[in-house]
Amino acid sequence: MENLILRTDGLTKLYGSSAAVNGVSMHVKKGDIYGFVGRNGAGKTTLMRLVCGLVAKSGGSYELFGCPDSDPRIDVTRRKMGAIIETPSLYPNFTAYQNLKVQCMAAGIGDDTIERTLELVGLSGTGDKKAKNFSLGMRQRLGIAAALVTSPEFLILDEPVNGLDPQGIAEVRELLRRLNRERGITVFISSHILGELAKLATTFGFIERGMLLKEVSAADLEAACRRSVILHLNGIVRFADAMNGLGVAEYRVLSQTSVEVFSDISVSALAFALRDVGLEILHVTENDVDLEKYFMQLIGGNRQ
Amino acid sequence: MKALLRADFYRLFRSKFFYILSAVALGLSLVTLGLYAVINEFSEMADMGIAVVDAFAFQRASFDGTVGYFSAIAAAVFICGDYSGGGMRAKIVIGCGRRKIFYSKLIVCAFVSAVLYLIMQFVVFAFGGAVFGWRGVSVYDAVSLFFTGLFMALAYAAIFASLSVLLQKLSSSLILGIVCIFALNLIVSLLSIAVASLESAVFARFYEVFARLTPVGQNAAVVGGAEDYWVLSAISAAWVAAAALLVPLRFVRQDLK
Repeated sequence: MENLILRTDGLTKLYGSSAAVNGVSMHVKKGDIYGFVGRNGAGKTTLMRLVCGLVAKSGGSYELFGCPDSDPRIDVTRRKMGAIIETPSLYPNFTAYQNLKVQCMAAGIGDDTIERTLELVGLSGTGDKKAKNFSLGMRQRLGIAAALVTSPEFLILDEPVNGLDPQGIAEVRELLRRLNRERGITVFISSHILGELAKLATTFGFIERGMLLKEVSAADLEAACRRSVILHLNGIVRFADAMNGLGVAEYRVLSQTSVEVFSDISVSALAFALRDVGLEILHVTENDVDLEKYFMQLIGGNRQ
Repeated sequence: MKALLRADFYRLFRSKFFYILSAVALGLSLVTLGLYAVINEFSEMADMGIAVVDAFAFQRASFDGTVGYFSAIAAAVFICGDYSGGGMRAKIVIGCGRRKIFYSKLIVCAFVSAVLYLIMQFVVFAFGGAVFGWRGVSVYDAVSLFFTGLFMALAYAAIFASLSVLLQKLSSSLILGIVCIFALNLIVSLLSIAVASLESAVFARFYEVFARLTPVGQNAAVVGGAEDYWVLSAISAAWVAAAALLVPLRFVRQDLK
């Protein structure tokens, strides 16, 4: 049985008669970096709020660390969580240290992790500077620090790289990777910057209009998004001979006249090799799907 | 709960509003003391050696509703500030529990209201006694009135802490809190005018009950000479109990922004 940190079952949130989250059943495994992909208003933040206990569900259920949301022990279970939902939780008149100290006090833990956490997010030198005078990027880092200071096992991050410069984005990415790898922290992250998610996540969930369209592992997504060329030929007899001659092992026959080739080999090399076995290329289509295109195809498919 | 209280008091003692409100409470009390001293000094009776205001009358006059306004402001700033900064969200996410969060806020707001009330009563007892004298004043009455005021301050805190927790927004909590105090003051004043001009026993009874039901009305009742201090205290305690019992029922189901 898989070790699930978060499991939702038909989770639903209605605002009036409209469903912000509509029967979502998702699975976040221990050790995952789960990339949550969806357009603005698709229901990402509402789902995260539901799981964090910030809004009341209208239907369905969820389990955190195996504890059902209906169980009175759910609050105790939440102590293993840290989160940033939309904006970081900060007291503007407090310094970075004081902000983390309040968080530690509320969680009932000592403040010995504060300095280490500030160092981890690159805010150790902010001294007496108040959070209201921080740049957007610094606030975002402080929010991440506040989520980390209680040493959580599960991090929920809603758009954590908002407002960060490219270097900051790369640093947060590395930080999350390190936390995942070294401390085994499971991360559930949403971001509009799909390229960033693609570099980080080990599992993806796609949500549109409150409904989870698909959950897919990074390996499966990579296979689906792999660069390929589709060759339309006058036939496929001896096609395998041509590929063997070129040393191309990965290809897929689509029909009696079309084949998909997964290789970076040039089209001219393919044309020469195919001509040698008596085949002629009628036309070529390049298939270069990244996460963004995959997502667009997915929601496009959903609309039809 | 203990952890939450520590966090909330840590925040309170580093918040400017607490010290500003305390300073304003002290300043207003001293101004009021000065005004009453001037009234005593320049009244016609002063020439005959009779004080218009004694320390007990000054103590009654301190029930002018200021604590109510201060409690409304303190609760709105402290609690709604936690909402807007995201502190409330952070506490829920890490599993502090909504009931405990509410009780912690309630205790802190009660502490602030009590401190503000005590500052005002410090002026009454320390300076009022020196300026106006306690001659002829019953210790029982002065002490009973003191505790009645303390319970009223706690009732104000309970009401406005509840309002702020449920409304979440600073502007809404402040406006509604202050409008409520104004409206209740107005109703009590109109009722007292009606009682005086109509001389109806039914109206008088209605006023008696209404004036005792809310802390705002109780202020008017005390200034008007009410002496059923322990009834007033019990009603104030009932407000605190009602807030502690009823508000969590709503708060645990409330959506946070």
